Amino acid sequence: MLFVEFPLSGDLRLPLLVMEWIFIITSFEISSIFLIRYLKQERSLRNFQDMGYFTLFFGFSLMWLFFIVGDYYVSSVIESPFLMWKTGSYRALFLNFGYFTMLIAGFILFLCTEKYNVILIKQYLFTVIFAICSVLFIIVFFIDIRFTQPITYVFWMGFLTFFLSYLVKFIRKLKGRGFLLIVGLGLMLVGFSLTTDAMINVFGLEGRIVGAILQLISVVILSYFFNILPPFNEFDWKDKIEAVFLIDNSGVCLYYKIFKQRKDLIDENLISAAISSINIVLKELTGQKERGISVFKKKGENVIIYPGKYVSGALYTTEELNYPKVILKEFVDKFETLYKNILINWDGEVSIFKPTEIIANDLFSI
Amino acid sequence: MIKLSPIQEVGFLLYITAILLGFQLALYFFYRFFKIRDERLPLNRILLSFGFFYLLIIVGLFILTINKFFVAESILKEILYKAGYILILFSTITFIYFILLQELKRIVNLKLLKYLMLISLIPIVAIAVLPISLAIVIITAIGISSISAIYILFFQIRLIHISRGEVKVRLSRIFVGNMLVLSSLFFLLEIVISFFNLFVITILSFIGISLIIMGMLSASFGVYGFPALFEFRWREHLLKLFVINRINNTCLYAYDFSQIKEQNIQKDYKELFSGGITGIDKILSVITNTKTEKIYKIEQPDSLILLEYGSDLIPELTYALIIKKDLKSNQYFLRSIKNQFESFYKEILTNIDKIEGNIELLFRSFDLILNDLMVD
Repeated sequence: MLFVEFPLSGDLRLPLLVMEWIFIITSFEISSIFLIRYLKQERSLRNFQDMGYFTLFFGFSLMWLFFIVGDYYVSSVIESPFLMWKTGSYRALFLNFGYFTMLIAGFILFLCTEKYNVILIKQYLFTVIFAICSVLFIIVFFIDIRFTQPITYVFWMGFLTFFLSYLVKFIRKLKGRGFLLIVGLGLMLVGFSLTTDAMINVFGLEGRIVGAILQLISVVILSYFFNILPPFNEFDWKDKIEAVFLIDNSGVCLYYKIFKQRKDLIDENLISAAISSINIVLKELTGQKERGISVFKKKGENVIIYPGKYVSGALYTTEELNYPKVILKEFVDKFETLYKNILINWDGEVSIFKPTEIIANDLFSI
Repeated sequence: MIKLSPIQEVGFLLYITAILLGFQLALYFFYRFFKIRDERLPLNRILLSFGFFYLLIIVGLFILTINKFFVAESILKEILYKAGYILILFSTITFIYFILLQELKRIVNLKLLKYLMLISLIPIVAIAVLPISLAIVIITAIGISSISAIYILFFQIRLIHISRGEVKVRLSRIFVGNMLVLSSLFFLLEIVISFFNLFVITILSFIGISLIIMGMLSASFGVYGFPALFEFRWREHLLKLFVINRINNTCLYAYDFSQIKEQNIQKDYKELFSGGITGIDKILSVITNTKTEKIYKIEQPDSLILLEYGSDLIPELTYALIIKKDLKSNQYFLRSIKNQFESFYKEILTNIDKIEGNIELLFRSFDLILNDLMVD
């Protein structure tokens, strides 16, 4: 039984509407920042985590747009029959659109972030839970639109569990930033609770205004946290790299570094010659003129090759990850820019490349 | 409280969107200005002019919006009405005030700008003292202020025309934004559209608000990451650049700006210059008893030498830029060179004594970065 009537009216209607509208605009702006950051990355090296954050904030924005339509502009009177349902109301319909938007946004966020890391028990655990919830939501939605709300509680539980597991796992690496996540999530949870029908019954519309303000603050804090947060895949990719080689176009090894000693790794000059040959053969086979990253996959072993203008970089990894590709490209690009003039007429003297060790240590953080 | 119809409410929310974007945009212009304020580059006042321009328009629009939707009492309505229009008209005056710079006299007539400022004051005074019921007053005021607004647009076109690289692209986006914002005012100011019926007024208001939002977005894309604005033709005053290792008086890198195609400075000259500069510094330190202080500028009749020194990471480096004319931009340029050089060659510079081979060839790659810096 609701004690507040919808569409909302009275003196608090407009201030509340303005507050919630500002929240929508801010979330939308923040989502645009993540989208632009994502689109600015090179296509093959894009970090899907940014796409996940974009979806999250855009989802919030869209969800609240549906809530505004539902709470301010349409009737909440239960009609029977209502469109294709036995009973229902326009408010319930728009609120459902909002819930579904958030479920889908959560699904995409987890899909994008779990791509790079196992947060709890198994990879894609949260993605699967949200996919199931979304399907369940659609089924219940078509049966009775009044009973979908409990499924959205899964969203909040999943959202909290995901970030708390994340916090526990990476607490040492997050350092003080973990506090921002806790505050942001806390405010979001309290803020959203205050805007639910149950809480409005207790605290009235004043409580909803406070809820909207808390959510606005939490969105700003969370966006700042996500902005300064290194990509999830950056945390343990170093454990998965084995060796890096820089090879000139004639197949001579200019620099190599072994991160993990392996018995079966052959002489670096043979590896260099082999990779150089692979590059030539691939170029002939595919007829590709543009330089791009190639990945050779085997069970438990991946070789990433990035052919530059003067040298090619090869990186051995135990798993196929996106982030090492970014680092390899950066390594090759920096080496080429630095040694461009040397490489054009190289006399075979390798001691000039000694500082590469520092660049490698810096980039691969050894 | 006045109750708004749903369509009015939606209109009000769109106004709120424009106002929110406008405030953020103005604050961002100020932020960009204060970020590089210490460099004292005079042309960066243009960022202030844009900031105040948007701020005044948005505050004016905010007052008019509140007045339009919520104020019923006639005296207060008139006061707010006047305040809103005065702020909007004042935006062009502040813009002109901040671009009254000697450095800009190549592209604008400063005398004309001063006259325009004075002329633009007339409508403001008229609105302040005459009753608002005289619609002709406001229309004439807007007409007079439009002359300044058009001149501002003309100024921006000229500025874009003589700019290069990143600055040109960003100024173009801001120009498009300004065009849209200024043109939106003709759809938004009640006095202009008051001759139409309610339906047309509603449509025009929505068009106006859409234009203003698009304008703000365009300007936002322009100002985001806006680079420092250098004085015009600053590149023409550059002569030579040297990066010197004071430990052994060797020249790590040299560049001749006067003959871009043949950048090879005679090896003897490089060594002579490197040793000479280090020597002068040492002698002056002794005779002035200022061993901790370093020379930062050497003035000569036809040229100057600007000097910068390596950061804590590589303190033994000296960066010398020979220029024809002392411009603030050149000092900023030399500092940018220092930052880029040290971040790019960090690994090599910290181990320079251990490297064998042709070191000079290694540092030649800096040509690319230097060219990039010059385009901006």
